[in-house]
Amino acid sequence: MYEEYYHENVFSNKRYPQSIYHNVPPGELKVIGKPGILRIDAGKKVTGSLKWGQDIILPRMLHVRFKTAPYAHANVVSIDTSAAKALPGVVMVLTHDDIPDLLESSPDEYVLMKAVLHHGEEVAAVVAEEEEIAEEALTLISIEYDVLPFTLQPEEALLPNAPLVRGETNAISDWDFTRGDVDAGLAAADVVVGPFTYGVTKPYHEDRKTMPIDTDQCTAYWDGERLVLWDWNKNRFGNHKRVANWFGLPFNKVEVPDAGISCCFSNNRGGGAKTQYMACWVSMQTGRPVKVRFTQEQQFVCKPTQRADHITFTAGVNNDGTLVSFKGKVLIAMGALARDRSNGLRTVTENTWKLDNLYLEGQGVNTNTDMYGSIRCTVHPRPSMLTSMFMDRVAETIDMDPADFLLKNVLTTEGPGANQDNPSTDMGKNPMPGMLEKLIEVSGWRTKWKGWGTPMSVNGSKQRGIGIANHRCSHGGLSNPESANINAKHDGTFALICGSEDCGQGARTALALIAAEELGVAADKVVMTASNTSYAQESRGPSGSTVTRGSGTAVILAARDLKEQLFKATILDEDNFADREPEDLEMVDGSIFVKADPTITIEVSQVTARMNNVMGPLIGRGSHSRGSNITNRQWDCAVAEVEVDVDTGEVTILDLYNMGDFGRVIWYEGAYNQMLGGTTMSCGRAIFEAMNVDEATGIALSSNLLDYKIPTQLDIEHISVQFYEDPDPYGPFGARGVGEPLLAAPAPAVANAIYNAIGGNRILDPPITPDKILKAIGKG
Amino acid sequence: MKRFTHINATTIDEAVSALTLYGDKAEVLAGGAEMMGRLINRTGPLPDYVINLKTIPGLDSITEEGGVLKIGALAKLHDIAYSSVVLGRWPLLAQAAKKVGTAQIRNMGTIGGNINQQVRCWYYWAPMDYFNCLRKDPNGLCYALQGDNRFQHSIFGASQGCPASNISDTAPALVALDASIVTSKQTIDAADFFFGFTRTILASDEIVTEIQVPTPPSGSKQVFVKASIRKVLDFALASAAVVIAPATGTITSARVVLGGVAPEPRRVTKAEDELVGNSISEAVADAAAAKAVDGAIVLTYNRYKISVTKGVVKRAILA
Repeated sequence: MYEEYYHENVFSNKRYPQSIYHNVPPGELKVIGKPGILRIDAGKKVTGSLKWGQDIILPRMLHVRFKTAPYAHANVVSIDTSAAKALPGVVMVLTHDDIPDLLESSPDEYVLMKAVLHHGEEVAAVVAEEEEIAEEALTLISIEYDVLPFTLQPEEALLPNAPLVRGETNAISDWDFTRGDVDAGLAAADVVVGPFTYGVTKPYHEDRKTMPIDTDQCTAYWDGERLVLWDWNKNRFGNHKRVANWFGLPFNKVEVPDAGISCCFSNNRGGGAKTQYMACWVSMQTGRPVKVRFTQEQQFVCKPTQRADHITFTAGVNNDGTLVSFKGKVLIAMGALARDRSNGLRTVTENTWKLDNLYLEGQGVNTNTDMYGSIRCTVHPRPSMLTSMFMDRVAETIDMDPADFLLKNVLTTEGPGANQDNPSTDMGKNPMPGMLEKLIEVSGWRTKWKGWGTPMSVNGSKQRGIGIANHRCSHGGLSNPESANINAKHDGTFALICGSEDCGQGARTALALIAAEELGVAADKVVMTASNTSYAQESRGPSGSTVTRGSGTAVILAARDLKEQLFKATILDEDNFADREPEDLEMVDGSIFVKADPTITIEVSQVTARMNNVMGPLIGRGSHSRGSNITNRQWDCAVAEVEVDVDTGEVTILDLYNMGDFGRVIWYEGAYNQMLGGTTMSCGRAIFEAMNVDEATGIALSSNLLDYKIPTQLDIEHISVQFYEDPDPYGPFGARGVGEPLLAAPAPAVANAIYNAIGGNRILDPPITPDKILKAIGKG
Repeated sequence: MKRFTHINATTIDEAVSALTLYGDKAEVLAGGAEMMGRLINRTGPLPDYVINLKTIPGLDSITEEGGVLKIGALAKLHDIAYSSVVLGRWPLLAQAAKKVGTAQIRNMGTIGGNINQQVRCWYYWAPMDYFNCLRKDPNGLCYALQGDNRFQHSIFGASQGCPASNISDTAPALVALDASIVTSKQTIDAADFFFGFTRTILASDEIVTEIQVPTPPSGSKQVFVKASIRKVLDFALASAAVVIAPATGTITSARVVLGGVAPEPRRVTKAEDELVGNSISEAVADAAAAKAVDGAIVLTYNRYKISVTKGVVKRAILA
């Protein structure tokens, strides 16, 4: 039933269990993939009784608020804090001179800045007895700035006379990638498409932000012996080690309990470092609990952005649809403090298309804007969206049905860059072209598509169109390290403890199901408890869509370890089982029995009831580690049907067939929710979401939830959730990670559908808002 | 949120006295849906004294007297949208009220607040008054004229230098229905109540107490159409409130009023003239829609709103 792969750790030469081959026929699964299992905290969430980080209120707690800079680029000349300090209830007013400390996320990022590199940077902070007092005191701080010229767009930042953001040049990286001979490929192709530049949002400045249910905050309490941190950031072990290192504390004097972590979509600047540092520092100064919270506006202007990639594409294609050559040049504003992340175009291109000739180059550029960073994946969705929009245009140039174009050119198991199906180099199974074929079938593409720029139907000013897109990125692999413990309880139930915390995606429910399946007990017999870094074992935390595979593998190993202990205890304590070996036993539906003679059986609760008399506590332990962090190749594809009003430019998304590469669905309801969430988020990026910045001042304009529009249920009439299940050889029960890839393909499918609904000029700069739609058809 | 002193008024007179006493440091609070946003954002000028009108009894009634619809200034938008009285002869107003914000906002928001609401220029609304906007400071500048003015700005010129639109959904409906606004000082036609830069003609110590709407011509067709980027929780790119009588056959009277495209709700009599004497057809709707945008003066980036405006007018006429 199982086959284990081991990975040679190049550093230690030790062998670690890396992945587990599961070839379990679906009919034999008892809890995995079964509909109707509620998430563990569903009741608390729908009744509003779940405690979020915001709800942590401690006696004598102090509050901190930040004073932010209203300039895109400036030096602080002087700060007068006297009036703020005089306000009753104010405990401290802090500036860079009080906390000159650096955060480790960037060489120039301080807890409080002296040189302001983008609008909204924190230059001072007030500590007060109440949050309202702190806010009032902010208005009493007067700051003299030396205002400097700034640069927002990457093209401008590279000009010889551009203001320097930091250092000698604004160019922080450049890279290229070559396969074959791209110029010869272009010369040999029947048709050359491009060069076309996508993604330049000028004169408007439009970036993407994330909308967690709460804002970045941290509560810390140093009681003189122990530092406890209730934090927004999902990487609890990272937080634990970081604050210990900051303040020179041994690891066992720091504790990070579960704090109702909301889905922050990885949207942390230095892992949420600023709120953490400030909360810990003030608590250690005052000996009082301290809460530091970002306002909604700060959440918009101080947290990372997924900025518009500016990509210039050229492709050579033959009249039969063969993609011969592909060239892409990307330029991205990384913001003032980010490290370079401009290589997303390569990730989403290199192993996605059958391409003998490929040339890519990229450049990351410092600008006076906030940091480029993660929003449910850092670098893939945006270049993937623009690439898919361009590929649609390539197909149009040779007048080929885009579904056929994708089928012809999508990378399968052969060709340059194809999956090697080798656990040491590539942790994934390529679902193409089967996945795309299934999408084309279930969406009814063949009967609905009417041709390029041709609506499916017209009703007055309302025109309907359909579009298709695919996506591949490097997510959903195994992470490093992961661990899990399963404690047997006396009544035959089990408590699972895993360091990978639930950040809204449902890890607690899914991992408990994996444990129940592997143990051989009912789903409701295992609960994954809220844990604490003082007793949970180290895990990397939710990132890279790896929890189900990475932590899931550790959970399976823990369950096997526990089963062996349960079987040993049974043999020791029960006469019927005497002289048997653990491998002679099995557990199904909570009953332990002898495989050779299933009439010899005992309920697991009878064994656990007496475990302390026999073997002591039974605790299964599992962990897995990889020598390197090779991730999966993960696919997503989508068909969108939209209706566009060609008078008003309004868009309604009628149906979205989003097909996710699940391998095997572990927790049905959770997988369904991931699909709804990812699809909705992706649609928002296609037609609404824009963090607008004023080009003249560098100040954010849509730093609120009215102007930064995320979709409502009325904007997306229906989502056709599609699970593509082709069990993966390396994931627990065949599962693949899906959290991030799901939000990639719907956006370009919507963009392509809008084009087919209205024709006109291709819109190159999503979000596709009414102004752009009407301009594209000559009405703007 | 900015701290303030909260005063519960129990009569209109009390509220007016408090306004008189505290002058420009005071503001009246109806539903609060908009004021809370300003207080949290610190978008000035902000009140030190907030005079709560919700404690004045009887200000939220919806009744009909002798063919006149009388709506208290504090009637909730939700109650107006679903009132059988309003839906009977004034469906235009119910439709417009239902288009405001979301269910939560309609449960909080009042009609008095809706017609008095602030513009939605994002330069004005930037937190902590980042932009020294001329609405806030006579020596300020208009940043929207040169900046990103695609969405909540006028295509019919500025008022005292400010190109922000009036984006109330109920305002164009009230003008189209020939409503009157009753204040603590006067009764005034809705068409004269809304006024450019200052949004309304209300004096600093004047409070809206009631809306009165006469019965429209019998057999009239009333339609409110709003175009926005998002289906709900969004402001109008353009809206049209249309009253056509009779609904079928030769039109004898018409009202076409635009929202979201000018500093005040904009009645377009030229469009009405295209309708009167004709019966509804696509050609007549197109002609009226074209007349509705006559004289448009677009800003740098909102030319497309001409098409949006024509679109909502046409859709309303043909609905």
